[in-house]
Parts: sequence; C-alpha cells; structure tokens
Amino acid sequence: MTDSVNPRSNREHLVPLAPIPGVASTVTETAAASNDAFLSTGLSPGQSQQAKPSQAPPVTTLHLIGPGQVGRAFLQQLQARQLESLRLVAVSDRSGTVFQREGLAVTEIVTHKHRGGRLSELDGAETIPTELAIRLVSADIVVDATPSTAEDTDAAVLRGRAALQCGAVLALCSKNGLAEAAAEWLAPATRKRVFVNAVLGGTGAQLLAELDELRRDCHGLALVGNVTTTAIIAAIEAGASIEQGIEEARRLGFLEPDATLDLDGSDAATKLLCVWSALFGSTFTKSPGLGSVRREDVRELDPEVLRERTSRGATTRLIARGGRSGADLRVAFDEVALGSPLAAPADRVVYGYELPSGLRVHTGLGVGYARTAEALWVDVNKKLQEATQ
Amino acid sequence: MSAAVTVPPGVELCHLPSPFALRRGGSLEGAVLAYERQGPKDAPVVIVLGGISAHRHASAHAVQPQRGWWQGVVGAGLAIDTERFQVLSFDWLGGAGNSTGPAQGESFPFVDADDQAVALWSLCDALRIDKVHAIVGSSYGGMVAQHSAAKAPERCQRLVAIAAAHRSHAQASAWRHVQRSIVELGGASGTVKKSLALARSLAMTTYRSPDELDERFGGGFEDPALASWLDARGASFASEWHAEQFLCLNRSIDAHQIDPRSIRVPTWLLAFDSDQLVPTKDVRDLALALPNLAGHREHHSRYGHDAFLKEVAIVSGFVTEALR
Repeated sequence: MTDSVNPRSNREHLVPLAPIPGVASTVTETAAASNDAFLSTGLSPGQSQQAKPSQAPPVTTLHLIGPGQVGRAFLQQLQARQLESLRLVAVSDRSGTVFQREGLAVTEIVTHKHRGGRLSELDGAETIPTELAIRLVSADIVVDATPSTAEDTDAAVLRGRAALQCGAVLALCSKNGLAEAAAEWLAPATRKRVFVNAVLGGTGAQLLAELDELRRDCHGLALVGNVTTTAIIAAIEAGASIEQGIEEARRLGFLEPDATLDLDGSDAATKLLCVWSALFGSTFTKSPGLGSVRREDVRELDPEVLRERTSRGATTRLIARGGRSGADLRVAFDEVALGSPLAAPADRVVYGYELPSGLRVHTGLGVGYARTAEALWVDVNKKLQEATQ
Repeated sequence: MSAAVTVPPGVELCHLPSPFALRRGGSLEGAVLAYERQGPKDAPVVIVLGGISAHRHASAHAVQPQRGWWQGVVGAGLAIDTERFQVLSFDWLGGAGNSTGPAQGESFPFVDADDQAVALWSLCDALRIDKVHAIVGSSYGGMVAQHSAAKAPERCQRLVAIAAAHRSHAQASAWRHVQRSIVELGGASGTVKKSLALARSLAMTTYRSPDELDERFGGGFEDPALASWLDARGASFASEWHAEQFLCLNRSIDAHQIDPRSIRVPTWLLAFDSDQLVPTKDVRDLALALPNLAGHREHHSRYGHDAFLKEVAIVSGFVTEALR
C-alpha cells in the first residue's frame, strides 16, 4: 500500500469503500498490515464492523489531534452541541489514533484521557505517526489542539501539511506549526482552508478577515497575547510576590502545560512569530525562529518597578513587538498608560496592528481551556456553514 | 469572541468587563470604550456627555488641538474650566466613534442609556476614579447622565441635565421612527447611504425650531438655501456614520425612561422653550418629581433642541452656577 501517503489516492479508497456492504470485508481479508486494515475498512483494527445505513445523511467529519485540556474541552462542547452535521471520526494523541468512520464515542475518550490514559491503550487504536493517520483518516476538518512545544514544531508542520494536502480544513490552536509555516499555509492556494482563531486567543478569525489589508498597510505589531503574565502582573500590582502571582495564574487556569513557556516569554514570542509570519513572512525566504526574538522572563521582574508604575497611574504588560523587517522582534515588560489599548485585563488578549490611521485593535477572549475551545468552534462552524451552503 | 476597533494615535481606550451584559438582552464581548481626558489629573472630575453625534472630544486642548463639539463651554477659563477640573468624555457604545459599535451591515444588540451609564462607571473604575464632581449631560448625554447618577449616587456629587427629560416624548419618538423607517427602506432597496442622509436631514428639522428655519430660509419656494442646507447636513452625517450605528443610538434615545425618584443627587435642569424634542413641560415634570432638585431654568431660544450647542452664553452661565 505504497500509495497510502498519497492523499488523493487515500480519499478515493476510503470514501467509496466504507459505505459499500461486502467490499470492506473482502479488503480486510487481504490486508496484511494493520495500516492496511486501517486504511481499507475505515475502522481501527480490532473494532467490529457495524451495520451502515444505506443512505447516510451528508456529514462533515472531524479528526482531533491532541485530546489534552483544550482538546477535551472541545470534545465536551462537541457532545453538548449534538450536531448531526458533524461527526468525530478520529482522535490522535502522541501514542496513537482511534478511528471510527461511523463516529467515535466521545465520552469514552474524554474519560480515558482525563484519567491520564493514552489512546494507544484503547481497543483498536493504531500506533502510527499522526501525520500518517491524518492522511489515512482524511477527515473534512483537522483540529490540531496539541500543546505547543518547540520540540513539536517540525511534527506540527508535517501535520498541517498533511491535512492541507488531503484537502481538509485545518483549525489550529497549536502555535508552533503556524509560527513556522504561516506564510506557506496562508498563501493563496490554501489560506481559505486554514483557520487560526484559537491560536491567537480568539482574534485569529478577525486577522484572517483583514489579512489583505494588514499585509498591505500594517507596519508594526504590538501584541499582548499572553494572559498568564497579565494575571501575574495584576497580582504583583496588588501586592503579591512573583511566586504568588504565578500561583494565581495557575489557579486561574492560564498556565501552559509547560509553565516555562509562559514564564520565559516563549509563548508570547511564538504568537508574535505566528502573526509576523502570517503578515510579512511571504516576502522572506526563511521565517525568523524563536531564537531571534529577544525575550524577558517574568521571574526576573522587580515587583517594586511594577508598583512604582502603578503609583504613577500606569501599568505593565508583556508586549511582543516587531516590524516588517523582522529584525527587531522582541518581547518585553513595557510600561503602558492605563488608557493604552494594550492595557487589557487578564481575561483577554489584545493584538495591535499599527496602521497609518492608528492602531487596529483585535480583542480576543479565547483564553483558558474552555474559551480556547470555544474559539476553535468559530472556525469549525465556518466550515459547517460552508458545507450546508 | 472577538472585537475590532481602530484607535487613532493618542486616543485612550478602556476595556469593559466581559461579557458586558445589556439591560434589554444580549451582551458585548471584549467591548472597549474610547475616551478622552483633559485638565489636571488630580483635579475634581467632571464628566461631559453630549448628543448622539457628540463624542469624546469636547473641546480643543494641547494634545488634541482640533475643535470639539462643545468648544465654547469646555476649556481653560470657560464654564467647565479645564484648569479647575479634569474633564472626561467618551464615545458612545454603538455609535460612530472608536468605542465598540456595530460593523457595517451587521446586527448589534440593543444598547440603552442605562447600558451607557454602566459603561461610564466601568470606565471610572478602570481609571481609579472613585467620585466625580459632576456629570454634565446634554440631549442623549443628559439621559445617560440621569441613569449614571441614579446608578451610583455615592459616586456623583451633582447632575446637570440640559435638554433632557426623564422620558422620550411621543412626538419625538414618532419623528425618530420615521427616520429609522427611511433608513431601513434604504437598506432594503440598496440606497442605504442616501437614505441615511435623508433621515439625518429630517432629524435636522426636529433639532431646530420652526421660527429659526423660517428666519433663515423663509425666502419662498424658489429659494434653494433650505434644501441645500438640509442636503449638506445629511450628506456630512452619512459620510461619517453607517446605518447600523444610527439605528442603534436612535433606538436608544427612544428607549429612555427613568423614575425621577431614583435620581437622588443634587440635580440641575436646563430647558429651552423652542425645543421640539424635549418639551419644557416634560422637564418641568421631571423637576417636580426629583427628590433633590438643586436648580431648574427655562430659557427662550430660537435654536430649538440644538440650543444646548448654540446658546453658549446661557449654557455656560447655567453650568458655571451648577458646578460652583
């Protein structure tokens, strides 16, 4: 089955085979490798065949990558919505993929993951690379909700490419792939199938709506995209120590799974790279990496400096800035006036785009697990609306 | 989940609590209020609010030198003296300024004067302003000022309401209904910009008095001055506003109603005898029902409702007395 990496071929195999009674079992008998069975039957190996309706209503299929905190929140919201037009057909984590063309049992997966289980432990799970699973499943929508880590960047890019090559819509809340490949994915050929609302704290849909104007007119970025540091700053301004501030941010559910990413400025820097690359990256042969963004660590802040600013009627925010050249990307704890558009509270992000007419301010509320998942739904709903039109 | 505004250089912005629940249903998420301050930062605060087409820029000052909508009343040495007071103004929610409002062609929830009052106190919270010396509001701003004073009497030392009663008069609502119908008809027939200009032209006739229009434009049928004036005013408005913003604030005026007994702060009322939108009788009724009336004046003016903009001397004298 060497053509299993050919997305067009996959689609042609999977779509007609699954609903035709009798054909699937014939193929299963001849499938030697587990990957082949996965491809041919539309079922994870070991799962029993179910009777298929002779005329199934048209549905949009969804493959979730990363059933972590955000992914599980997304699944729970999926269950609550009870959408007949959307079917969860596959879920992948680092250990493997479960796949059921007729739809997966959401509760089972959420419960299993909530208990700390790995998908590879479930009956019929396939332990193949996620990128390959994306191609084999070939869902209409691929939601990538994997936690963002620098080590995952290459894999995230491959996942995104796989989804787009399969013709899927790619809805992201994972940052690293976008930071690396935004210019590629938001090129004319694929930009209508890439959604980034959740990656950018609920402002990504607005960014894409204004992408042409911003690419043309924006000359600088000023982003307050990391609410963890905003929460820490608020606590410090109220008299807390840095450690107490970090605890408060943890209590509010803002800390990334790897807290270091929030604390050392990497999260804010990655979001800056996402936006910079989306707007300006296409004019450069190579995107700047995380190492090219100067960063400040919240743990090195002097609380007295922050409180002194407060006493003068100002405040502090971790602001990610950069211009078109990409030579001056930086993330720093800057003083901002209370009336600055960037002085947002810790329940929202502010993405500022410097235009000749002023600062275009996108405010997003996609922070924390549940609201990030809700931000993903903005993107998924767009695809569903398209499908019904 | 997302909101977008463009903020010109120097404009200050307040992020409102989110969701920002609206009294008549719905909410705004991630909403912002654009505001402007002038005067010493440690001086007593006077909040200045105008009509629906007013905005955060009440008068020229060093940072924003262009003319404001209340140029003769607010400024150094004027009635609202920016050497004595810190003046705070904001762009209306739902309007054409830089606060959150409807995007062109998109629906927007109902924002009433009480919602604007909640937004105002949220702004004061954000600026760490515990108490204001006065809220001075004219026209729609007078309505919002009443709701603001009723909502937080402990934070407001006095209320000055000019050309504003405790309710919208039915005659005025009737005219506004026709204006909205014109805009809606324009929307349905693809001529929304023209219809918006026409609705504003009609509104202009209600802002001024019959006597003033006759004095200025009584040259007879052949005199094109009246039509030119109305067309110019309408076109100017339509170039800066879009239909959804107009409809939002137009409805908001109609929805205004407040129990005068709920306004417990010392209140000053100023009315003009030629005001067709806010008849002096309504302001008199408000004065009689207020538990803490500090002053009530009725003045003659040829300018109708717009007297609050045109009668600078009368307004200034009244406000000076109220703020003393």
